[in-house]
Amino acid sequence: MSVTTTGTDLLTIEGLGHVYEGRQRHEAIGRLDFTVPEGAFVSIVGPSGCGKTTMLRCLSGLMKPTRGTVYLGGEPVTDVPRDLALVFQDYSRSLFPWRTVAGNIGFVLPRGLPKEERAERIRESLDAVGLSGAADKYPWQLSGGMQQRVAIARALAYRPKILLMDEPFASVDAQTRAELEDLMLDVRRRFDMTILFVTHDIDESVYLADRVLVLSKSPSTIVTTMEVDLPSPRDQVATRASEHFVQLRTEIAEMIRDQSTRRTASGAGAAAADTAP
Amino acid sequence: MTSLTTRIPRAPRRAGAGSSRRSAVVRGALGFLALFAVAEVISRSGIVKEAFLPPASVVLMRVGQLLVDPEFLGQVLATLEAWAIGLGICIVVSVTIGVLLGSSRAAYSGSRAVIEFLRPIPSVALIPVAMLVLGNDAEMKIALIVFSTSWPVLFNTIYGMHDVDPIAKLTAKSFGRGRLSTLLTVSLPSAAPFIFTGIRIAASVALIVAISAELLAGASDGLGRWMLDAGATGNRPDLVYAATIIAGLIGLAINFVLVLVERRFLSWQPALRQTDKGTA
Repeated sequence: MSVTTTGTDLLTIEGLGHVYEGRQRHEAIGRLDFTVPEGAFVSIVGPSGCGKTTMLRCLSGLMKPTRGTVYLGGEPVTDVPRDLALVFQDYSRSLFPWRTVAGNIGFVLPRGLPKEERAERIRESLDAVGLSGAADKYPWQLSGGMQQRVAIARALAYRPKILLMDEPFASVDAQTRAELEDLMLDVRRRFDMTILFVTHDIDESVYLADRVLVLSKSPSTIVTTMEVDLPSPRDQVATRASEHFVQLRTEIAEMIRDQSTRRTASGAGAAAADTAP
Repeated sequence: MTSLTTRIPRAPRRAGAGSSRRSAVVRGALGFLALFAVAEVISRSGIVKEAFLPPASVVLMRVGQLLVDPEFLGQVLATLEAWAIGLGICIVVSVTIGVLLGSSRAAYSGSRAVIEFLRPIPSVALIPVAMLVLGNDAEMKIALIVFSTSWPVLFNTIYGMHDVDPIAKLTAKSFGRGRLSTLLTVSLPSAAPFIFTGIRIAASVALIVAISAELLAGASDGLGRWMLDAGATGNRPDLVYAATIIAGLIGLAINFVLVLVERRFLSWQPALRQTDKGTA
């Protein structure tokens, strides 16, 4: 366990399950039970189509799960909770093109906030992501990596207790991705933020987190929970080259491979379920 | 940003684009000059009698005179007043209904049959009904304008609402915005370019309908009524031609203003975007 966690659980998921009803009934989530301690960085990694997006929507109160309960700070999540911010994978669709960068961040600030304080909070969150000069630009004038930084700045300006991130770096190039990963580690340190980070990239999940949860294909369950006791601060070159890192990522990779081969072997039923939304 | 014509280039400008723009302006002016010359020659040479086609120079002079004639301008103002009120009512009503129908699939499919029945009715065919109910005053003109301009605004609003990105709405929801707030701060701005396109179409349709109503219903005032008097009663083809040209100029001016408004407030939409990438 990492040094920064206090031990109390900020997010608790109990018996979470979700089934999409309809013409093609699809069980996206089988059963999930896990906790995210306060101050922790938890990664969730799994094969594509493992119901990760469904899970995040249930956690963030955007969708009502079929089974189970999500607790945030001890309270059951019934509506969209105030203390949680979600960073979407598709930043270009999540940012509003008719608002400037400052306008996009201002969108999440309380409406009664005085003008100077509003400007201050926008400046502060842009500083945190290294985009101080971009306040008056429109999102579509920025590169993909910068747009995702704006989305992160917006989530920070909201001042949540926990950040949920849905494959946030899936559509940026490798160099930008490494920069954004280090940005998240920095943000976590500076704001004492609790982060639940969903990714399909095994290396990324290990590099960032204190704990990695490996998900099966849908209906998803947790295959294993792995504590990542790599030293901090992490380094893109040294950490990834360390023997322990390689060992962890290999273990996870094997586990995910076993998952997919087992599923494919189990017959056409599982394969058909994978193609459903 | 020096003049209106250079404010927003439609395409990334390359070296030499300035000179090709200038030559386009020159060619356009030459085209007008040629049209003027042909019209002048046809009339002066007697190929077409002056009673049918007055010399272009005379018509142009009349345009100049009418533009400073207070009585004529008063009639133009009457038309523009009906145009503005009709368009204003149309925007408020159609955008409101469009937002409601566009937010709910059930309301949309339920109302489609009614809309598809009403829409093809030509507004000019409603002039007798409008006269019967509303007489030949401004109310009649305005009612016809509202009816005929509602469709483009209504349909564009509905399409705009259907086009709102679900991720954008989900984003607003995830930051604690309720349905009304999401509608006002996400759906409406997102649909605004569609709505504005509808308004631009409506603005030109409104002018056509206003003048048609004045001409066909013999309205008590307006540009159409003035043309009717100048033509049928006054037998002054030069004035009718001049008024026609002015009607065209009004249409141009309206469109020009709306394009400016669109570029000022809706420059974020993909079709009008200026990114820095072109220069990089």
